[in-house]
Amino acid sequence: MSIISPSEVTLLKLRRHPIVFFADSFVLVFLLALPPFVVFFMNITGAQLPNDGFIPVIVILCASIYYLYITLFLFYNFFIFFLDRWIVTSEHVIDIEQKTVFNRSVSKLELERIQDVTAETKGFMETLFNYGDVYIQTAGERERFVFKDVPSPQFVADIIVRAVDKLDKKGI
Amino acid sequence: MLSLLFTLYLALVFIWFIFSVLVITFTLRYHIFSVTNWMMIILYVIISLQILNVTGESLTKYTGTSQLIPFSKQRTYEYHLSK
Repeated sequence: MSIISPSEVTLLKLRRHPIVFFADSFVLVFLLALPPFVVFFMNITGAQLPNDGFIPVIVILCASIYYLYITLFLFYNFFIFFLDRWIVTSEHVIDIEQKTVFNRSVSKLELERIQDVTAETKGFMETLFNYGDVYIQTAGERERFVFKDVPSPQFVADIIVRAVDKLDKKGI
Repeated sequence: MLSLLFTLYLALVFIWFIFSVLVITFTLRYHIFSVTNWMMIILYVIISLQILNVTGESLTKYTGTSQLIPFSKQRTYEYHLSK
């Protein structure tokens, strides 16, 4: 069963800004690049690992596991980034949050319940890349919906406000 | 020592494999028609296979074999030769 009913029109489909994924993955990319740097510096300084016995095999196996797991964590980061979504339709706001592989929550909010929409951009990176948070104040059980690190938060807030206005006019 | 090392390595690779399959399955469960998703999965599989391939080649270079069981056989063979 689809989360959006056929009568609804999808206005926005949002994910976090890609720069957030790259910023989160920066440490992992740095760790990927670390062993070649170590080898490079060892070559410069003339230091060498003993080339006999178990040591080369241990180094190969450790490097193999190290790279396999870092690649896995990078892919896992992408997976979490990719499945975190916010959808704005003509009738609802849908918040799909993927916390971990086995932890996913989907919240649906009727546009009629929205009381206030706030767009917030703070910090150097957010201003430079034009992304930020959109807070949706509601009258429901869950008082505040947050669209985290979405691109063009001002535009998103504007679309939501317009959709609410349109729905109010239809209601009248 | 080497057998223990390989057993540990295989255990870690097994855990990695199970977790990779889980992550890929769950990603596909929610976004099976997404081109980006498929591209990322293919990229991940290619990189992983490449890492395993390089590991195998390096092991072959240093030990003469990339397989686990022939290690003991090879050592026995060399032992007989020396006698």
